[in-house]
Amino acid sequence: MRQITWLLLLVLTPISLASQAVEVITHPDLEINSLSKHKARNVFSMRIHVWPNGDPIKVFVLSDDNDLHKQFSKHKLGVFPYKLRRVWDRYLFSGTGQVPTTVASEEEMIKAISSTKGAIGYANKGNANVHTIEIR
Amino acid sequence: MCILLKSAKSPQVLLRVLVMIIVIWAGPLFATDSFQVHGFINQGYFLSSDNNVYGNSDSNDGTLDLTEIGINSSVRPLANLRLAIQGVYRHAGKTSNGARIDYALLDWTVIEKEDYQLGFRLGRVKNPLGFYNDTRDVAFTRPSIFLPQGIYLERSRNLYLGSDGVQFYLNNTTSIGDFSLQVNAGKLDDDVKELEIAILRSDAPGYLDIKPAYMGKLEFESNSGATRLAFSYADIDMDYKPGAGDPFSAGDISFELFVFSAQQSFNQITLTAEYQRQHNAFENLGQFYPDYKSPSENYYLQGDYRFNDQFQATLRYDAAYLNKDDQNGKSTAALTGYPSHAAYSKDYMTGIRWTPNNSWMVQAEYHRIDGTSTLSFADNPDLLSTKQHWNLFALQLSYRF
Repeated sequence: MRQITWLLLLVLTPISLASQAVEVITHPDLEINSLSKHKARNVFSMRIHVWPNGDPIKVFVLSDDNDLHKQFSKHKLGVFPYKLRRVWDRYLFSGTGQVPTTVASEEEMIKAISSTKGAIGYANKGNANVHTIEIR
Repeated sequence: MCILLKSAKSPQVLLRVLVMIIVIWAGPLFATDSFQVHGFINQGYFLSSDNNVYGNSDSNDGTLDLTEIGINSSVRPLANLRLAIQGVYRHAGKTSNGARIDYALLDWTVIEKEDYQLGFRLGRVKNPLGFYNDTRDVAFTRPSIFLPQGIYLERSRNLYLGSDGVQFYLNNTTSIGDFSLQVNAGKLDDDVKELEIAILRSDAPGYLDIKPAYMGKLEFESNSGATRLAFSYADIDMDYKPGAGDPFSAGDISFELFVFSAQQSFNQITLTAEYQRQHNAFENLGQFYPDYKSPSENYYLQGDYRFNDQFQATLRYDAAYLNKDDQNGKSTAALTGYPSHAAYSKDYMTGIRWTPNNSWMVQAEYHRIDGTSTLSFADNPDLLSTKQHWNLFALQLSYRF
């Protein structure tokens, strides 16, 4: 029994640690401290375009096969990355919407978010130039 | 409304050109961080035991005659205003060969609230029918190399591509998911030679005059995207305008169609089914074409299995009946003079998809088909020599940016 418990801990620990390591970040001027999971899904799937203060929403993501992106979509949004991609593709190729801006690295993500009004994205850990928000 | 749209044909063209100029040249000046450019390139290879798809697939070497290239651009100068345009070049056997403006529109979100949005798209808009019609030329959005041919029939493809007019939309996000309604009103593409031959069974001297049409789709998607349900409707009327020495007289043709779509995803398995019923009426075409009405029926069931992020396998059964009350095609054959197998098609398909990264996709699939109702006339000019039972292998390479 004890061995099984250890084994479980060994298997589960990296996953739970990893899932806690993604932070949703926004431009520092955005006066929002938390988003419901539902709202966050609508923001990242590009269904809504405007923040309550009237600023256009600017979504930044890493590529679909990036580990941080996978963790973010599964744990913060509860959506498989390929499902998000299909929603974006439908909007893009039918002319009914825009898609997020894909950035090459986490550094680029933080840089883009700190310098773009209305921007939202994610990172392993935020810094002083961006605002970290909670997904409930 | 219809008359208004018809007379507004040249302003439509003007609007498209205007949108194009604004997006391409002035886009970056508006707001560089909302200016987007994306595109795709797709190349197919087809080899069949009999009958031709996308060129001469029934040759020893097969055919490479499916090339699709698209580029789109959009900009959001204001939070509630978006301009978007997409150009598509498509070479598909003898059925289509050339470039066109796929969509060119101005999207105005009139009301944007936390849980609903309401607005209009003006210009050339895509027609929402079933899960795939509005992105049917884009390999990355198709569920396989071939769209299920019963519902997404190549012969009537041009008719359903897009509308020059307006799309009204309403989205409502709720705690269980997202509801979206799209209703189009406008002028349809009139490059419908395939359809004319399918209706008249010959390339007659006249042409089909398609009236402005309405169509729409109501869709539900659960929050995680695991469940999707949709209902689509279209009502299309056209007149046949006879030419000099025409055996057919000025007639009325109409299609009314209903599509029910459902998709459910589990961890690694996705099941998709769509069912279409279409009421066809052909009237007043003259003594060589007795009036008749027929209900078409098309459906498919597809299962996808995702092994991991890169590999996916697919199984599908796709059935098409030009007249659902004549499933073996015997009475249709007596009427048309074509073989009875030209009135239906039953297609068993298995395929595999490899997506090594965001940009590339490779697909292969194999079809065993009983029936020939989905063949194009351009690639199979002599339907009498087509074979009832045939096999088809397809390979496709796609790139996007």
